[in-house]
Amino acid sequence: MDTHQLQALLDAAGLDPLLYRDVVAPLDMMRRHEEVIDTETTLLSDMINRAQDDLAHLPDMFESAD
Amino acid sequence: MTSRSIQSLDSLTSLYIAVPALPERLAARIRTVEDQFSALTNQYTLRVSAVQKSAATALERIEHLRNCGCSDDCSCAEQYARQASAIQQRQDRAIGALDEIYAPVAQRMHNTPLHTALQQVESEVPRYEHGLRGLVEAAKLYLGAGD
Repeated sequence: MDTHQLQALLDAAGLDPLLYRDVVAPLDMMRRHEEVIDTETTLLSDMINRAQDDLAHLPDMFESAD
Repeated sequence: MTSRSIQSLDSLTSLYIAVPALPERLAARIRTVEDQFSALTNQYTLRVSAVQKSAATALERIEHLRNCGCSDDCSCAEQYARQASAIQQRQDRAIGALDEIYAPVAQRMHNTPLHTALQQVESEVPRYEHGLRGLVEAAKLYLGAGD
């Protein structure tokens, strides 16, 4: 159930708007932060994997300048 | 109570169960990335140390030129200065190449407020749980399933 479905359920049931505010608003907030964390951790993980690979393949510039 | 309203209550209940587990799931994702970054930092640090060690060894090899004084017009000290400068430049270039790979990742890692976002999720959970408990009770009463 997403927040729109939840809102529809609450509207249909005519429940207290304060309850709606106390449930849907924090849920929306959590979902937004969840998306940020999921997106950023995926991006960072990819960046780290690429950097590890690049470091592993980078020759020793000091020795190779000899 | 209709099957549709039972389904709605079930959905509310499953949502209630799923959300408190969210901070732990997100914290685990953050820990995984931090572990990966720690491994990258170790890899980078080892490479930098290896370059510094090679440079120190190269400087040691020419150390005898530094205060040589083998003759009155000895130019060994100038030779030492030239070679030491070249070694320093090689070291800077080698570490610079490593930095080019590592620095953007480190910068992104430090500038991304993962823990702040996690704290905000954690702070919303009690408010959400409280609201949802009230909501489920109200929904039960409304739907005729109250005690």
